[in-house]
Amino acid sequence: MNKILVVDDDTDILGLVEMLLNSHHYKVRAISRWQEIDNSIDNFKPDLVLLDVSLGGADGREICKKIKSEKETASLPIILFSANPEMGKFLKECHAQSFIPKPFELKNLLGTISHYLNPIN
Amino acid sequence: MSIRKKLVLMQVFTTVLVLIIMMIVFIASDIKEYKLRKVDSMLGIAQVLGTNSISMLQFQDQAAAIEMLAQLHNVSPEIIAAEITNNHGQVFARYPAAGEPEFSLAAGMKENSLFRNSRLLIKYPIISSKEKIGDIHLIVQLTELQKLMKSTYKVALFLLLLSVGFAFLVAFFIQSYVSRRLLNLVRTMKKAVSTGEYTVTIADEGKDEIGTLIQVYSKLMEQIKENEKKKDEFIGIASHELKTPLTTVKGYIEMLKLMETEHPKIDFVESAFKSVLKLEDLIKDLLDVSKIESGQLQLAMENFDISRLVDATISSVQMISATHNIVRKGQMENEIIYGDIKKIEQVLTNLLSNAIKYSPGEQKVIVEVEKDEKELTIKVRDFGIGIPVEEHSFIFERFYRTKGSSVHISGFGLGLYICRDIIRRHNGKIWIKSMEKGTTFIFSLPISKKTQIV
Amino acid sequence: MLTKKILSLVFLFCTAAPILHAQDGEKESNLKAAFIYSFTKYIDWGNYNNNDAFVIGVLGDNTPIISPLREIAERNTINYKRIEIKIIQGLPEEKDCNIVFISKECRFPLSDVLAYAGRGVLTISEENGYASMGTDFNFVIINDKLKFEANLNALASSGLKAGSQLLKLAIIVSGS
Repeated sequence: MNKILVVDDDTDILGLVEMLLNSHHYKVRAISRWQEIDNSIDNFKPDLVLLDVSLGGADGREICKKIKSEKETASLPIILFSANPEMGKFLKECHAQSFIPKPFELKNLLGTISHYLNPIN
Repeated sequence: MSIRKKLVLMQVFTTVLVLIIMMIVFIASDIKEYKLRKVDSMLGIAQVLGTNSISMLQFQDQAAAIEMLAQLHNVSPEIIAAEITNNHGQVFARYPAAGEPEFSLAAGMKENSLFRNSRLLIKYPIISSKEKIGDIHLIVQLTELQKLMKSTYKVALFLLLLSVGFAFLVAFFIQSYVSRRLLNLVRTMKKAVSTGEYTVTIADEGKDEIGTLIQVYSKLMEQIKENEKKKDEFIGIASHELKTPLTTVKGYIEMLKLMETEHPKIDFVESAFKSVLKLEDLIKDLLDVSKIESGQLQLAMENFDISRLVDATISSVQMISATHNIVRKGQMENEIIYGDIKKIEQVLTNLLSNAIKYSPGEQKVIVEVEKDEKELTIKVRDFGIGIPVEEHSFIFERFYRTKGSSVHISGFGLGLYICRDIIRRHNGKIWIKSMEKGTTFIFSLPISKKTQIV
Repeated sequence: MLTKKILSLVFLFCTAAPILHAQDGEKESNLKAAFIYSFTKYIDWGNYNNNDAFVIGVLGDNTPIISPLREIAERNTINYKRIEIKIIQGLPEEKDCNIVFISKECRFPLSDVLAYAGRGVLTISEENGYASMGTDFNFVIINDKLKFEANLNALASSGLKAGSQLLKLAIIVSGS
C-alpha cells in the first residue's frame, strides 16, 4: 500500500484529502505544521508528498527545494498544492513533479497521484 | 474664453490703459509747458517793444510805431497782429491795419496773457518813468503748437499701436507660464478621468497657488491609487481565501455524488455541486480581474491548433448544457496560431456560456471560424434576448451587467472584461453585432507567428 | 520911430498868429509843451546841470506855450528837480537856463539868441528852417502832424547828448 504524506496548514482541507485518499486505499499521514515534515519523512517514510505552497510562515516551494536537494529524499515525488494557479510555473525551479490547483477535481487529484506513484512502485 | 486668452487680454488692457494715461499726462504737461514758455517769450517781446515805443507814444509818431510793429511781424510771423493803445484805450498804432477781432478782447483782459481759439493774446503796459502811458497788445497764432500737437498725436498713436502689438507678444509669453501649468494639470486630469489611469504625475516646481493645486491633485491621485491598490489586493486576497473552504465543500460534495445513488439525496447533491461549480467560476473571475488590474496576468505562449481547440471547447460546453445545441459552421480549418491556449479556451468558454445564458429555452448556438491573410476570426452567434445598441460600448466594462432583461442573469459581469483583456493581449480585437434575433460575438487573432504579444 | 513900428508889427505878428489860430494853436502848444518835457528824458545835460532847479526859458512874452509849460512845471520834475519857467527878457539870461524855447513871438534875431546859448543849453524853436540855422530842435508841421527836426552838429556844439530813441523820430537836419 502506498504511503502519502499530506502537508497543509488548513485543517479542513487536510481532513478532506485524508478522507479522500483513505477511501481510495492509500495510507495517509496528514500534518498541518510544516516543522514536522522532516520528522514525518524519517518516521513515516512516504512514497509521495502532497505539499501546500502557502504554509503560514513557510513557503512550500522552498521546502520542496530543500527536500529535493538532500540525497536521501531527492527521488521522493512531490506534488505542489495551491489556490493560486500561478504557482504551477515554479515546478521546474523547485524540482517538484506536478501541481494541483485548489479547488481540485477528485479525478484530477487521484489521477495525478497514481501517475507519479507508479514509476516508483 | 480660455484662461489663456483672458490672461493675455488682461495684460494688454492694463498696458494700454497705463500707456494712454501716461501719454495724456505727458502730452498735457508738454502743452502746458509750451504755452508757458510761449507766454514768457511773448511777454518778453512785448516788454521790449513797449520800451522801444515809449518815445513814439510820447512824440505821437504813429508812422514809426506802425513800421516797428510791421517789422515785428516780419521777424516773428507767428505774431500776426500787434497794437499799441494809449491810456484811454484808443489805438495809437496797429499792424495790420485791419486788425483782428481779438483786439477787442485784449482791451478787457485782466491777465497779461489769454489763450483763445488757438491764439495767444498778450497785453503789456508801456511804462515811462513809473507811469503807464499805454499798452501793447500782441496776437500770436499758435501754428507751431498745432503742428507740434499733430505730430505728437501721430507719434503717440504709432507708439500705442506698437505697444499693443508688443504687449500682446509679451503677454502671450508671460501668460504661458501660468496657463501652461494650469493647462498641463487640466490635461492630466482629463486623461486620468478618461483612461482611469491615475498614475501620471506632474512635475511642477512652482510655489504659488497653482503649485499647491498640483500638489493637492497629486496627493488625491495617490490616495485614489492607494485605494485602487487596496481594492485589488483585497480582491486578490479574498478570492484566494475563498478558494480554501470552497475546496473542502467541493471535495465533500463530490464524494457524496459518488456515494449517493438514491433520489432525492442524489438530486440534492447534484444541485449543490452545480452551485459549487458556479461559485468556483465567480471566484476565478474575481481573481483574474485582480490580476489584470495589478498587471500580474501573464500569458503562456505556444503554437497550437485553434480549430481543434474550438471543437474541444464546444464539446466540453455542450456536455454541461442540455438545453442548447452548439453547432459549428464552416469548414474544418487546420490553423496554427501563436497564443496562450488556456486563455483562448477561457474566452471561447465564456462566449459560449454567455450565448447559452442569454438565450433561454431550447436554442441553437452557432460557432463559425473564418480566416483571411492577416487574421483568424471566430464568431459565436446566439438567438436570445440580444443586447441593445446603446449598451454595446459598455458591456466590456468591469462589473457591467445588461440592464434590460427581466430574467436574473447571474455573475459579476466580469467575463467579457477578462475576455477583452486576453484578446487585446494577443493583439486581436473583440466586438459584437446585434442581429434581428440575438447577438453575435466576434473576436479576431492575428495569424502571423511569433508576433509581439504583451 | 521906425524900430518901434517894426517891433509892434512883429509884436502884433507874434501875438496875432496865436489869436488867429486860437483853438488849433492851443492844442499845438499843449503838444509842444508835452514834447519839450518828453525831450528832457532823452537828453543828457551831463555836467551842465548844477542848479537846484531845471529852468526852461521862453523867448516871446505871450507865447501860448507858456501856459501849458507852467502846468507841466507844477506837476512834474525833471531829473528830480523842480521845473522853473522863466520868461526871458534879456538874452544874457539864457545862460541860466537848461532849455531855451525860441517861440514865434520872439523879438530877437536868431543869430543873437544862438550866440548867447552856450554849452549846456538846449535850443528849441518852432519856425521852419531854424534847425538848419543852428537850433538843436525845431518843431515843424508836416501833413498836419507835429514833428520835430534835430540838428546833430548843433547838439554836438551844445555839448549835449540826445538819445537814439529820440533822434530816431526826429527829422535829421544838417547845418551850422
